[in-house]
Amino acid sequence: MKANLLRRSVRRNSPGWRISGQEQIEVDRNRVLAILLIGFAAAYGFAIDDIVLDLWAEEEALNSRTLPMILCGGLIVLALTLLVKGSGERVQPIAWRSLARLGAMLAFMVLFALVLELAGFWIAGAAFLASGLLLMGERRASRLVGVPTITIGIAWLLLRVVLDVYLPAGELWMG
Amino acid sequence: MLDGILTGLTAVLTPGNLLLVVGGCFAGTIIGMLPGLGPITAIALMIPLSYAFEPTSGMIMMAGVYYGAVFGGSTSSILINAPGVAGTVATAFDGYPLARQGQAAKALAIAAYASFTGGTVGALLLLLAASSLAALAFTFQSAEYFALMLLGLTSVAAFAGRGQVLTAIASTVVGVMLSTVGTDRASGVERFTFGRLDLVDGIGFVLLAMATFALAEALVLLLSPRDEAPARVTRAAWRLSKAELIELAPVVGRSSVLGFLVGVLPGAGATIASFLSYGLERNLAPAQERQRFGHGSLRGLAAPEAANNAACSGSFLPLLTLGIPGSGTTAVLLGVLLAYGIQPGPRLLETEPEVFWGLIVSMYVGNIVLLVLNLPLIPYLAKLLDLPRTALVPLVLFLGMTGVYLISFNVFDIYLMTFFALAAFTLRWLQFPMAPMLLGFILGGMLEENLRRALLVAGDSYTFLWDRPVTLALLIITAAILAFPSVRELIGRLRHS
Repeated sequence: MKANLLRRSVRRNSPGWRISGQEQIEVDRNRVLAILLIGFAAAYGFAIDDIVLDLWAEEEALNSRTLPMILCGGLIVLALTLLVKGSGERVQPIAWRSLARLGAMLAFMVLFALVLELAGFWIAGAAFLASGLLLMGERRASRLVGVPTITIGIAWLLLRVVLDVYLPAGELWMG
Repeated sequence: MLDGILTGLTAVLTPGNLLLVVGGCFAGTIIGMLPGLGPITAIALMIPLSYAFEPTSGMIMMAGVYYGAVFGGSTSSILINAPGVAGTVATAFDGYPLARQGQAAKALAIAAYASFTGGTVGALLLLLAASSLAALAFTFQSAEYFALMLLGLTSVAAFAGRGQVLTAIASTVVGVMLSTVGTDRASGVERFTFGRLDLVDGIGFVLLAMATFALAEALVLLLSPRDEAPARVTRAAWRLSKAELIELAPVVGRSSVLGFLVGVLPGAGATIASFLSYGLERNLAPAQERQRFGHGSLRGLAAPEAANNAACSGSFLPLLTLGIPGSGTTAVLLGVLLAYGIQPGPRLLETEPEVFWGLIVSMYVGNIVLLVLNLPLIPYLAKLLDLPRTALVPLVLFLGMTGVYLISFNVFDIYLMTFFALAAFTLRWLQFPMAPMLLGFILGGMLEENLRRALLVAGDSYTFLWDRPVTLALLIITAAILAFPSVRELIGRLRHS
């Protein structure tokens, strides 16, 4: 009974963190957004100091720092308003398994960028597509081999052969 | 003028030139559909081929490529939420939700009809008003452009749903902030580059658009990999009912005229035209229809499509009559004309009437060809969505990364795009509207540049805001648009009470 009351009171005073039986966290949507925006505005604001102005620029009505400063201040005001007002709606929880899949796909994207120029368009592209298919739950060997081969083949034909656009062949193999 | 039209028709309606228009439209559509490759790339890729023909034929082919690439960009916007060029961003707002609702064929058909009408109206207006509109475009200076950019930013109101005005404005501000990354074009000072050469040119538009739309959408789909049953695309699926045609006709008409007028202004182009027409139509729509904007409104799709194609015709006007390229694409076309030894400008009509009128008539013919070519293809294009989600997600991500790499040949852009895709995914999860951010990003750079130029001309004084009548008029319209929703709500409340 006491635990239920406590849970209800936390839910009412958002942003409150509610740990349910399924280990889900509930917070007010706009308040999370506001915190992220304030973080972004703060980082942007600190970087304004790094803008090196010309000697005469400080006397200009509008120099390279003016607009960034106005924007930074404006975003902080907007974010604070969002923080105070809230939205009354809670953030939809995402299952840990889905987050893990998302993290893996982002890692594949970074790996694709890492090996693209080293291993070449064919190998990097085929590896990315096959890993992506596997991650999405595809287990049929015909599709795991067929989709990357056909996609890369068409892309190569269209871009390299027809349009004569440069595609990396792979530094490892080209010497 | 009648003589001119006849000259143009004689130039275009030869079997060889008609074949070139068809070939140009087809090649443009295919290239435009590839993520990252827009009209500029399409035209640039066709330059070597164009030199094989005489100037009139070469330019006629290029006009076909231009229109084809714009339509191809709309197709990828609608089907996979991947706007390859800024002009088709607004198309994705309602086109992609329609595709998700199983109405991809209808969305593509509306895009084709609206593009055709927009392009045709644009070509006709170009025929009728070339000389007088060229003089009007000449009166626009930095102060007017600054006010026009502000007016463009007010269309942010169109993306704000009930209770979302604050987040929409915040999103626009974030977009303008991202546009300040890179070298400040006015002073040459580096901003927010953190000493990295990769950021000196700023963040690429395609990179940001791909990351926030196509890639973020693919990442959302990743969370639920189970397929929904794909809607069957039949021949009837892309037919529009009489009621829909009656509803869309005035929308397309208004947007075409607005698009053309905005397209005439050098530097404004298809992007502002499409955003402005989207905002205008949302404000004009009845309350119930207004709620559907952003969730699959037919009006919301038809308006930017008509406007961006009409703006493409409009952008030829300063190029042909003043020799000023109004957009990146027409700048490349200017290069092609110069390479042929043709100097566009006020005397072009006298020195090269065949090229001048041939190009204008070929725009009209190109639009017909595009419609005839694309309508039968719609069921096949829509079949793209029948791909199982297990394959669609990695394919979209792969095409997005390849497209961005092909622009700069720099893998840093793929890292940056991955970062933006993750950020966009998080923001979408928090229901932060992404469209205003892209609008702010597109217009932010131009806004600052024109404001600084206007200040320079006015001797560091802000008096130009009220001294110049066109600037003042545009600013008043901007203020009125911003105040309109509040006034409407106030009137509604007063009526109820």
